[in-house]
Amino acid sequence: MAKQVDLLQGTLDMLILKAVSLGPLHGYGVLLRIQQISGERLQIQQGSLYPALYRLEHDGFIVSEWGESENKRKAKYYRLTAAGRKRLERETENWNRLTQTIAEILNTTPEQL
Amino acid sequence: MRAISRVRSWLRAAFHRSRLESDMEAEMTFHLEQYAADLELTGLSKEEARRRALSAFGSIASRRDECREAVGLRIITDLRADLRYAFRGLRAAPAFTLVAVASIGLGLGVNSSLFSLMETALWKTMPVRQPRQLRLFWWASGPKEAMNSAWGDWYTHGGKSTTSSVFSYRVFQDMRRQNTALASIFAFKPINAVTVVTDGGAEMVDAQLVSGNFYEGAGVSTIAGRPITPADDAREAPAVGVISYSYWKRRFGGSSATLGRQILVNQKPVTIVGVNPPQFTGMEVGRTPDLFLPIEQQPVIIPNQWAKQGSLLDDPDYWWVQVMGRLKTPASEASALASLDLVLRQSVMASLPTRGKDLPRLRFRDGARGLDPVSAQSARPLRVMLALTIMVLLIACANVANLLLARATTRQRELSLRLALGAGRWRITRQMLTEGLLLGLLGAGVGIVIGYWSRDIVPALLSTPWDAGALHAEFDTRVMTISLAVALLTAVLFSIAPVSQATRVDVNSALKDGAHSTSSLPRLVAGKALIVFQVALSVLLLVGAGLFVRTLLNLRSQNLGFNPRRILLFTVDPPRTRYSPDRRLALFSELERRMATIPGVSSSTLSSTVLISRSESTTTATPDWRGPRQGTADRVWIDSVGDRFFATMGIPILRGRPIDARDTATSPRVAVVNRRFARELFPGMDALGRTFKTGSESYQIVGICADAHYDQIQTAVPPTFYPAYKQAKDPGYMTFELKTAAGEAGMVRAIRDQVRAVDRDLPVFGIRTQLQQIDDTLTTERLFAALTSGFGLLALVLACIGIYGVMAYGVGRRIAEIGVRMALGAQSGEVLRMILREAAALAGAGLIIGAAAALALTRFIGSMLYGLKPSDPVALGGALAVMLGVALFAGWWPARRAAHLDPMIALRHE
Repeated sequence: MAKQVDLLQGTLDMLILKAVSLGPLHGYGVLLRIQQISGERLQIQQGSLYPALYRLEHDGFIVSEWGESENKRKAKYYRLTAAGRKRLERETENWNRLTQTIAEILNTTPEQL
Repeated sequence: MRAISRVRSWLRAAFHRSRLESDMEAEMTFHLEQYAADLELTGLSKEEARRRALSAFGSIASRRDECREAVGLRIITDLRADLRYAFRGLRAAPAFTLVAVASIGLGLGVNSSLFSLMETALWKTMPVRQPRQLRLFWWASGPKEAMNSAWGDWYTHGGKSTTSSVFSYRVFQDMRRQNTALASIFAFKPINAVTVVTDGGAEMVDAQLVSGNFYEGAGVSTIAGRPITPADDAREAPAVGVISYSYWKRRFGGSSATLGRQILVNQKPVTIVGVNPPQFTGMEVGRTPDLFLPIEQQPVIIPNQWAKQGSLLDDPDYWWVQVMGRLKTPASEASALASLDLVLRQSVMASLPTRGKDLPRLRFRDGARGLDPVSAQSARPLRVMLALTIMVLLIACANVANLLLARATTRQRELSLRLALGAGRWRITRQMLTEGLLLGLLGAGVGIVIGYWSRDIVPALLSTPWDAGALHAEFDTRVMTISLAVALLTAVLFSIAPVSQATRVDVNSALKDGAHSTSSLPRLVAGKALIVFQVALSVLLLVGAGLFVRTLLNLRSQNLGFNPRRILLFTVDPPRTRYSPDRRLALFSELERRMATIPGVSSSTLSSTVLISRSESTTTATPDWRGPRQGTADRVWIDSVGDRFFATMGIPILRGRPIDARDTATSPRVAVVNRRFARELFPGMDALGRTFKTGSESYQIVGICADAHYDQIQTAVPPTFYPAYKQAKDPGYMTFELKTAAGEAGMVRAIRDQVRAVDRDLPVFGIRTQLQQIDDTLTTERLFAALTSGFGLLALVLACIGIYGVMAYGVGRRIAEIGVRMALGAQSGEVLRMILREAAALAGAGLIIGAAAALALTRFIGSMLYGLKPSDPVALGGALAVMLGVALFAGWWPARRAAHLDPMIALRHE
């Protein structure tokens, strides 16, 4: 098993939006997809997923509707909205800028000053 | 976008709560089952898989709570908990709740009642279609107006300009015909009472003339029959009338057979064709006409004495109709005004000589309230009243705040405990606010009920008892909404002190100590500040009460110059359609003769003007001498009287003789003048026997009488002359004065019988005593005396409760200290005086502030006072003395308790 990292505060929302942007998912599916993409490196508190989903839906970034799961069970599917897509783009951009800046700072050598 | 989504999501969650819960349950169950199934695939047993799934998920209940919070449901659950808690708290302290709710209820009730009066007097629009589109026409002109006669409002602004809202019928018709800019233009005219004869007998009925397009234009539809239409707008058309709903119910029992019935209006047959809706009471605030007639019927039904053939319709020089229009769109107002202004001026130039005259310019005014003489008159008294009721509310507010403070102190341990257990300060604040709001709402409920019951008290105090009051306070949704809003505002206001106190609680010391913790000091300071505030406001109200009561007393004790006691009045107005001037005179003489025969009448007479009735008749007079100082008296007051007028009214004749049987229609024209008249028109001369002229009439002075008040008590006696009514060319209505030996009981029946014996269809109206008549001119003064006294009393009671509360609390806190003092030899008398001194000091601060505020504020009511200055020392001193007395009375009980303490028990107290 790969080394696990703790989730940074506030990044769960971003990951959920990303997961859902690849196609509608039910709650458990979101969990599986994040773990799958991250190669099991990210450990998500399973229960904390739902308050986050409800919060995102409350804010209008995702919408939900009841559908049928792969094994023919009723499940609630979440889908990204236009507002959610915009939000995801902005968050991604912010994140990239932040990581890049921090990486630059960390890689700074005395000669560069 | 995000905000909208949140609101939608919150509403969905709040209103489909069970759906949310079941969805949440299903979703989480699905998750757990899927996870468990996946774990089973890795080889775990079913039970083990389920156990691990559950533990990975964490507490389901708290996850659900987080989900609810995520969609904003927490506030609802919290509110529910807060409310339940607040209810429980209030139920546990019934005495506190009762006093608090009663205080707010009383304070709010008087406001609510006043709001309903303001609704009628200032705010409410007429119940017609789209009242906001209506515009009332008026005009402004230079001082040399083109027209010479008017019937209606007429204002000259210091001789610089003239404004009025009446037009000639000709101008109205021109504007209506040439109008393209407004949706419609219609006319109406509230007229004086007309005589109506039905099966029920003869009576005076308030009427209104309307143009044929009035109902259509104003947007009023009848509930039975048909309205007056343009087809009725012709002099030859058969006379029809529409009656008010209340008249229909009152006189005709609401019978459908009323339609098509014929009644006699001023002796002319009129067919009733329709009934107005109950909410429509005419076009003038404060008047409720019962009969609506086509305006073209004016020459027939109310022929005018000065117009050719009695017709005002054909006289372009007589301006009398009220005109209104309805806007097509709000934007069209300016262009409509411009085009109609042109029509007005063209019409005036075409119909009147305008050389050297000023032409009127048309103006619009908001017509949503119709003709509105009330709002301008009553705005000021209502503002003063509102200031008074707000003071009462503030006093009540201070009282409740004080009670809440005391309560917060006793709950300090509980609050500290909750804080210590982790309740946030905001949570506690919200809790206290909820309690305050709950109290406010309960108070609002009580207040609105009180306001509803008392809504007609003020109109009743203002109304004339012998003339049905037309002003009815409206208690509608707007009044309710404002009352509720004020209640909530009040609740927030009185919660401030206890909330700020509660959140300052020091957890440690409060938990360690008992009831007498360190934080009671701010409580006392805040409580004392509230008392000072309360006392100051009470002083203000008491000063107001003193001023208004003294004004009323001054007016009542004013020497009238005549004796109003045991005089019965009634009025007779013979319609001109039936009585020519000669026949009127004959009728009045006959009635004068008959009245003297009624048993119990010691003396009787009649006059054209009732004394002290705020109505007056004036003219200019020129004396029969010329000199350097002489000109004409601009204005003299005139009252045409019958024989025995001076004896009946008890006005002494100083010189010469009164008007009596010698003065007939054919004898030389004579007059009695009062002393002021003689002094002003004949300075330094003997007026007796001299003559003076008013217009074309010349009068010889046969007597000089003492000065008697004429139209009102509030102003000085005017120069007045009293001619004989029998010598008048064209007397109008007359009022009879009967001096009765005993009371007026049984007299009314005899009067009616006597009048009926002369003319069966002649109504007798306005039956009242002279004292009632005088009181009627003092309604405003009486109202303010009554209101300020009532409010002052209320304020005293509330202040008394407040002072008692603070002093009792202070004594309770200092039991140990007092015990020590007494153990060291203080006498109980000294302790008593000490506590009373504190109460007096507390009140003293309020007295000083209140006196200063009174001196600053009472000048605003200076014009409403009579015979005293706003800074009247009696009113101020009286108010201060009463307030101090009440403060000492309230402090007496705690002081006595302190003085009678047993030092041993007191020392052991803690």
